[in-house]
Amino acid sequence: MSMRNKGKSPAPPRNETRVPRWLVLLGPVSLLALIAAQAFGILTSPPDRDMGHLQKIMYVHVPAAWMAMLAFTIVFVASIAYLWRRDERYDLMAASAAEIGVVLTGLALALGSIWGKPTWGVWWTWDPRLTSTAILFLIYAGYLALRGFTDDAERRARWSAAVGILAFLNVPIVYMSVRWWRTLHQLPSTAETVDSIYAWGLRLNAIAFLLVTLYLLGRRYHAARVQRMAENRLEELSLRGAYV
Amino acid sequence: MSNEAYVAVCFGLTWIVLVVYAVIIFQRHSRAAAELAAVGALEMEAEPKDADVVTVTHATMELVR
Repeated sequence: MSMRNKGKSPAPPRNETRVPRWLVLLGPVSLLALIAAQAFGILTSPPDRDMGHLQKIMYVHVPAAWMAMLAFTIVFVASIAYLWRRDERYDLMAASAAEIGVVLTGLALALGSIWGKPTWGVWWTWDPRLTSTAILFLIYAGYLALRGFTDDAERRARWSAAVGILAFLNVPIVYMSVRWWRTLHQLPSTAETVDSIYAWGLRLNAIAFLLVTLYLLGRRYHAARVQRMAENRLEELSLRGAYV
Repeated sequence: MSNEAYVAVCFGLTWIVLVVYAVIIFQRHSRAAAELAAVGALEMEAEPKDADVVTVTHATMELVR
């Protein structure tokens, strides 16, 4: 007579670590979209009357800034959802979005600085838009640093959610800064405010950046979930005394 | 530096940042998947083996008889 162990298989099933098919497909789609949008922007935009070819920097600087704002909005919504539902998936989503937001804000600041040198004559100035964006970058970098302060996942998620909600207060300030304090930085560049000849280039690059951001967010979130799964199961093993 | 050079630097920097960040994410995923597999192996070791279960079962059956 033979009896088999009918319990749950302890080995991780393959689908736990496998990246969803839609996300795998989104990778090449977003890559091609970005190449096509940038090619369209570069090849179809005539030199601007004032800035000449420098205008083309708008196709990377503006979408990067927009997607950073979107990422921080996701942090805000996911943080509220975490405090409401206490589901760790929202915490992981908020952390993933914050990281991408920091990367994109850093990129937008760097691109703005490179754009500023030939147009304004300086790499950096304490303009309200630039300063509030730099503060935004530091706040969310602090959010990511805070997550490393404790090993207690529940406490980390609670603290992070509180910071994720409070930090979002700066996002509308950044957005409105060019209207409230009109100084050096121009008013927001949108498909409605720029010359119509540049509108489609901006729209397409924004869509391409959106796809890239969603892809990176999806991959980052998936990696975070696999990581958390490993941590949770290791903790479970430790509690059972099977692993020290 | 010419205007075209500034544009090229900006587009180049964008690609470098996005590609490097994507690679970092892929590496994190691979590392997390490897950790999960290692935990799975530890769980396998911690679980009672089929052979142990069979031995106990036979012994129990003998006792019952």
